[in-house]
Amino acid sequence: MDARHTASEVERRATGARLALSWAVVALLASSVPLVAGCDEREAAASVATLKMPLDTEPPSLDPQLAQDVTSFHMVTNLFEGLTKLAPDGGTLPAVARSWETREDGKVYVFHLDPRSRWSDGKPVSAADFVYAWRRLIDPDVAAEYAYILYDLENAKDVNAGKLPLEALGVAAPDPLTFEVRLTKPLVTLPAIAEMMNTFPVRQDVVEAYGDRWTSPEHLVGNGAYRLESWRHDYRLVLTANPHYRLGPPAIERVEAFVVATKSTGLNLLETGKLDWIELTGQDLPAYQDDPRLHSKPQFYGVYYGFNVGKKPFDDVRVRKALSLAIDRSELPRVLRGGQVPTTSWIPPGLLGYAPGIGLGYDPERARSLLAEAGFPGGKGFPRADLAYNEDPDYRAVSENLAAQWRRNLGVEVTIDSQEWKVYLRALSTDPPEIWRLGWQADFADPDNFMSQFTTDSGNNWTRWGNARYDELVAHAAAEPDVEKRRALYDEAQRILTEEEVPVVCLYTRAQNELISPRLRGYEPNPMDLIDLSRMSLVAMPEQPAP
Amino acid sequence: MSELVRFVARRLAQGLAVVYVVATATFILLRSVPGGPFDREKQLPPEVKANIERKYHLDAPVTTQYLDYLVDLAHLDFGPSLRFPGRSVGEILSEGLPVSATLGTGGLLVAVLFGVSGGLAAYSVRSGVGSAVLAVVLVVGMCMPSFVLAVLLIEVFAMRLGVVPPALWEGFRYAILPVVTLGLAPGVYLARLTRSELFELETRGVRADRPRQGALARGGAAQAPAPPGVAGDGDHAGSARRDALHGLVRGRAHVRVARRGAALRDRGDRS
Repeated sequence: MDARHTASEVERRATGARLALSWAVVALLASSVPLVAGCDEREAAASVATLKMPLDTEPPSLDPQLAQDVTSFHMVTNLFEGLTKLAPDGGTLPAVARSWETREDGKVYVFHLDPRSRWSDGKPVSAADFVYAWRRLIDPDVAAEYAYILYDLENAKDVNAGKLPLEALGVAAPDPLTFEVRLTKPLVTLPAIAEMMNTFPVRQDVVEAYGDRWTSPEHLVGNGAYRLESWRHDYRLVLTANPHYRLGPPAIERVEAFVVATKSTGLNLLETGKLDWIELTGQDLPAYQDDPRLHSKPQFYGVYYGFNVGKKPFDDVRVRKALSLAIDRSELPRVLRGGQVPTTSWIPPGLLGYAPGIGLGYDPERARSLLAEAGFPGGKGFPRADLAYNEDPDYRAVSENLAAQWRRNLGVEVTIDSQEWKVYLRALSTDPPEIWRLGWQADFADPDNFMSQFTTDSGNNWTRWGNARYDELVAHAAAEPDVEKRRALYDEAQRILTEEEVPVVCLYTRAQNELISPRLRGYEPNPMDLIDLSRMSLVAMPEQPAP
Repeated sequence: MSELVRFVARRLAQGLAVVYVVATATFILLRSVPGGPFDREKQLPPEVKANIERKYHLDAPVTTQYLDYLVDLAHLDFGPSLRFPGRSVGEILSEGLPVSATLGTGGLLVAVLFGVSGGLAAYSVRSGVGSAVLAVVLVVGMCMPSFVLAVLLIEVFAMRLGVVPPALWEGFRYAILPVVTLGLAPGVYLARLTRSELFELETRGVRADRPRQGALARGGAAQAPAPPGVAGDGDHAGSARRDALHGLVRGRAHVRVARRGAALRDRGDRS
């Protein structure tokens, strides 16, 4: 009994010591409270003229040549400015280039730079900065993923493969305000390509002095409307107006961009006034359908299902047509609830060549008779095909809807197969399933970016389908300066793709749904998801009573 | 003394062997799963892909890559981040640490304050409505997963009452909700502990099953990370059986199941 007592005494004393230690920690923490509380005052002072915007992720890179995702795009397009910029309606506007013209039948472009263009340290932007940036994009040692957007420049592919020196690339600066580009073939898409952040100028002296770290706030020199003041990784970037900006400092002086990974958190922050806009998910959309803050806009982002035309019975064009005709695409926005726009053709609404009348729309009668002609009356004898997609709630809903419609309208059964993203990509590039899903988001606002995806030698054409006439039309259209002629070429190409040969079934274009605070003016959601802070302003709002 | 040296040396060698095996397994697994870090919805031209692979030394023979990887690991160099060019993995780790540390210490503070005061209250109020309320709070607090608690706290205090912000990290007020959420579960645990310790002081006589309790407590500690500082091996089924809650939590089996659930839940939270 005694021994046990002693043991428990020891234990109790040890517990006491641990308690004392804990209280010491408590005291230490309590002493740091006033320090943290001080931040609140700073916050209150800054919030008056500060725009607060969300970012879906930490921007992977602020280096224009290396950045490749939409979050980086939202920052880079405000810190830098290219030759041209996207208009809210999807067109191309002059930016650092005031004007441009072509020579030698469209094989040479000459851009004339705006003499007002300045870097954020006050030095003038020169054509040499563009020469450096475009060479850097194609430099094999820089290894930029988007190098290939310049592959139509003279010697570009060989320079990128390391076979020719950087100086061989078809770019030149005959004087500080003239930037010259030499192409291997006439190309009307170059001004649209110049909207891409990867073509934005960078400063050679800064990049070379600081290497990988040149995009940190203390080193970064840009020519956009904003400068990078601070960057707390995975949390917040602060942008401040660039006093040297070409068009004068922007209206909003300070922008705080918060990394808000969860959409529901974003919604909470908007509702408590801590963010000025957010993107709504399809799940939240119904509750805000009548909210005056809601702005919806279709994106240049098409979703389609493709066939592997090398596999039976999808080698038979009648089968492919029947499957396309058996889909009532108006069901998709109801299933997905995100403001999607159903389409039967490939070029999305808003771009030159958009033709809602082209493609095989819903016609179950014709679908059944085509399937019967192909030897499967009422779906009898139709082999069970795989319909594969990468795991995602939206694409699961689409796949299940398609399977149900095909069963209902054709008596055809498919096996839905959901795969992990990387596994799925490998399957597409080695042995594509009979039916598979993919999407395409525009790199730049031009129909060529969509149409060239399905040419015979395109690296992104997984259908195993190729058509010489289609290839010719798409190539011709990329060089055709006349808008009406160009539209006619795309019409014919789209008919081959979605009416005559049908290697893919186009379904819908995605839409973006944003809730925008009424105190923010000048933010127009647009099909490229460009966020141009320099067009925005904040207005004082009457004090809201607490809810 | 030499025994101690041998022991330490043996444990160190074992640790190194484990690190080596884990690192090698990671390396082999990463290279045998389908897909590479540069697979995209948009296919890259072969020239571009070759440049990228050369930049990250993915074009070297696998054996060379493996040796490089081990040598770098030995220098605590985790290499460049494939997702965030221009930042090293070490930097990314060190940036998150201060916030985690603040949250952790804040959570501990809440746990201790709530635990000790709650335990004292539960000890002194032994009958009536107050006791029933405390009992419910202690059981619910123990069972509630932190992500459910977080959502409830945000809805009530941030969205409806508007007294604290729902997210972000801009100052003291922003730390309140996450710290309370983190601290409450261990706080409840500490409250139960405090109360049973107090009961034990009162009823020293009943000690018949002490050794078995010790064994059980060690088992419990292995299953679930105990709150740091005060908890240690304190909680045990024997106390739980004696305490005022015995009508709700019967015996050690229930306690162990609940704690195992908490341990699983904690792991789930982090994934």
